[in-house]
Amino acid sequence: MIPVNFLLIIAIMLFVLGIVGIVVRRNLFVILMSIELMLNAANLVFITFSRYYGNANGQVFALFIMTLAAAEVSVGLGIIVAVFRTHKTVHIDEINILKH
Amino acid sequence: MFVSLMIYLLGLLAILGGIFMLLSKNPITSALWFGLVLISNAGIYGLLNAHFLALIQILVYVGAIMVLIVYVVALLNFDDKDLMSKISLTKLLGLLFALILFVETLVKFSPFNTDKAANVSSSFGKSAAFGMEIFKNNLFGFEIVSILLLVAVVAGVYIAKKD
Repeated sequence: MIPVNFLLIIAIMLFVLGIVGIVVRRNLFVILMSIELMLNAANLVFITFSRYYGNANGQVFALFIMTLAAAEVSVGLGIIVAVFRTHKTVHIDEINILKH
Repeated sequence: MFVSLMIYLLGLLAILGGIFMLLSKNPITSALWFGLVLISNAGIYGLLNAHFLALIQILVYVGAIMVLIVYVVALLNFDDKDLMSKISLTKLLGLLFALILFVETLVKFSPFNTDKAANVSSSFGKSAAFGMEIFKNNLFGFEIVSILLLVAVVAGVYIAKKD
């Protein structure tokens, strides 16, 4: 027996926690981790339904999402390093060069 | 019975890790709590017969992504005055909409019949069956993803290099 409903609610909670992290935290690293958290929530739903319907296609797409997350982190960390080199900060409110 | 008990436990552990990830002040502590979320998710994948993906989750997410984040945090050496200090209208609106999303999904949630879960063969989710699924039915997506990775490698090197 698979507790599908519980897993879906867990996935929703992880996704909402990711949104809250993006909104509330001001550190670029934590924002990047929150995005990863949201991708993980999507993965959890894919794998849950893959098991529920006995169809391995969902697992394949979960693997694709993981690849995407790895690509995203490599580019995102590159951007953070580049930003830190020019601004000397990772605080997102102080990176407001487009505003002025 | 054992499987669902473990899934409940790991799910609660994942939520706990997510909450502490947002609450902890130091980004490295944050990253370690994030690691807890990833590892408990890997456990859930394993219990849902996705054995190969559980392994890949540990290898890629914990072994590469999380460690890379910790490494870059340690490398940059910034002052962490951050936190939720300043409360602004935008932030409150964002929190409100996140709450609305959560409540709405819970209200509109129609429960699935857990007894209807399909019976899967013992090879389901193991690397042989998983590889057949990729290379028989999803070859095009696989190639696209490999190109995406190549692009990401080039972009990562280009962005992070000094002028």
